[in-house]
Amino acid sequence: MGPGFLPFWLGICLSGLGALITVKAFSANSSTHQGNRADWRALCAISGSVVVFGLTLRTTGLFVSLALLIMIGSMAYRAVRWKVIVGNTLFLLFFSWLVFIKGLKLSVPL
Amino acid sequence: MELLQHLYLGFSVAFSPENLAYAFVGCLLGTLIGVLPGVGPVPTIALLLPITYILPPVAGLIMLAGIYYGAQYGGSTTAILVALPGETSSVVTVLDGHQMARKGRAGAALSIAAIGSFFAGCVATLILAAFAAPLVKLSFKFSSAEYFSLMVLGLVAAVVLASGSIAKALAMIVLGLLLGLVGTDVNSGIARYDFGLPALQDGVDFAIVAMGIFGLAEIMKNLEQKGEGAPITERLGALYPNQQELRQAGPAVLRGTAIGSLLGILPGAGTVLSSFASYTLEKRISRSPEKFGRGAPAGLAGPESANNAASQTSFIPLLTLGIPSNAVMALMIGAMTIHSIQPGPQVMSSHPELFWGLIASMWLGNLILVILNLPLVGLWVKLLKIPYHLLFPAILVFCAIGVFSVNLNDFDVVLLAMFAIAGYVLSRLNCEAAPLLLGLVLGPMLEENFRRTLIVSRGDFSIFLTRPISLGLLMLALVLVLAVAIPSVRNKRDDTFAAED
Repeated sequence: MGPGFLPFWLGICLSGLGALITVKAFSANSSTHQGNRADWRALCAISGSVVVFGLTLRTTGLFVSLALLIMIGSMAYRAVRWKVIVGNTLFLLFFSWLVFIKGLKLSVPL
Repeated sequence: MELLQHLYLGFSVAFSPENLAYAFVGCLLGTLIGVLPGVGPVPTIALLLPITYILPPVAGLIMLAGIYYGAQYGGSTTAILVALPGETSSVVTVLDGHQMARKGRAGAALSIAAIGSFFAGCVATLILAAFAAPLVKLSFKFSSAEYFSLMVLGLVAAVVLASGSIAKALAMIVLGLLLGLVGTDVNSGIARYDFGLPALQDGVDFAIVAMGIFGLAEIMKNLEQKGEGAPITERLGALYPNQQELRQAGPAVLRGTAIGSLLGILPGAGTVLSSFASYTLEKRISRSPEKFGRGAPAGLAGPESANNAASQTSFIPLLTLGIPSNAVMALMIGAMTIHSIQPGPQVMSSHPELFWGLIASMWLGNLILVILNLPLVGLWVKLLKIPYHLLFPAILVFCAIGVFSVNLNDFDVVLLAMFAIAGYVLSRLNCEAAPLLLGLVLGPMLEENFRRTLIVSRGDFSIFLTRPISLGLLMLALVLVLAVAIPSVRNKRDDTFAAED
């Protein structure tokens, strides 16, 4: 009973539960989805900005990658205005510097 | 009697001006760190450990302890305000606490959390002082089989938390368990689920999953609803809870304190299990369970008290046996060792001023935290009035940097994005995320205890049923499952009978 034991059986459980959920979903008394439409713009903007942050942190340093994070992330909001983004970016850069560099002395590449 | 003498000694130590100052600094730091999502007490304590070189041992431990439960307080603040669990145990606080905030009762929610935690902290400290020795004897009875069954019970209890279908909740638990198993297997050293990436060989950190699935996905959910960027709550309700909320929260605080004090002693995820168990209990015995998940004060007060009580009683195994019950306690052992104090049963007798001074300062720390936090409630609630489109980039920044700061690993940040997407997908599919996080935290421990039990019993599975405590816990789990499943089966039968008529 090696390292694969628990993952294997948990995987079987999960597949079984998934099958159960699927069956229940197609049965007569399930409800159709009500609510808002999925917000693809927000999804892409937020996850995209985080990925960009992760990839650029070591190469361009904290401030540049953080600015990219904020700018791309702000695109998630539909009625976004340039002045607001720039203002927010500057404020958050200053605030992050204060908290993370001066306050917590985090060893992030600058 | 002897206890009073000890307490007198303890208070005289704790109330000395410098120890008071260190306690204050610790609590303040801890709250700030708890509020910042992503940065938890463990890295902070680790960072500040060298400072204890220069401080006298009591002062150092007092400050570190202050950081620890200060972080608990701070973690519930962000959980309530922006649905971001700053601490593992704050996950449950998000459920009803944030809903209360959305209804304009943010001030009331924060106050209930603070008062409940203070009460629980006081009671737990008393328990710590009075019952340290006998309680440890209780925890001796727990071997790996009992731990396994306890965790199974905890996971099953998480199903009760879910408002959606049982199958989905169970699936989320199993998914969480599988995520928890990512990494290097302890017994064999073989890497599992690592896709050949060295970064995954240490497993997926809780913070990354929590930030992604709760934090970032919450941002996406909010943006989908409000195109205009309105603030999270338009109405700024009263800063303090009203009569009705207090009446509902009061008994929950008592029950939560009891649960937390007991579960905190057991090494392992005491604070997490306590908050989940308390929530389950409150939901089960409430007269209006449908209110849970929508802002029920009992659903906030119980878990908050439970996790604060547990974080105090988790000092018991450390101070009496020298066994750390979680990562923070392990760091405390480090701090004690730096001062050549051997953690173990003899600490109580060889360094009484340390033992009792620490206990007294815990009570003091709780007091400081309540004094710090209650006036600040107004300030925190003002934060909610910021239009959301200005607030969410800040949350984004803190999550991203916070996740990076855990391991200083940029791959973790990419993982964060993946969990954000996963979290959004899951919420669209009506799957509850809280059970997933519990599974993630308990997964490795569950497996370890499972393996250990089977090694001891030489492959005999029936040992889980022959040991009485283990059997009892498993039966309780079964009862819970049936209790949840049967009403829904009965409803369906009623429906079909009604349809036939």
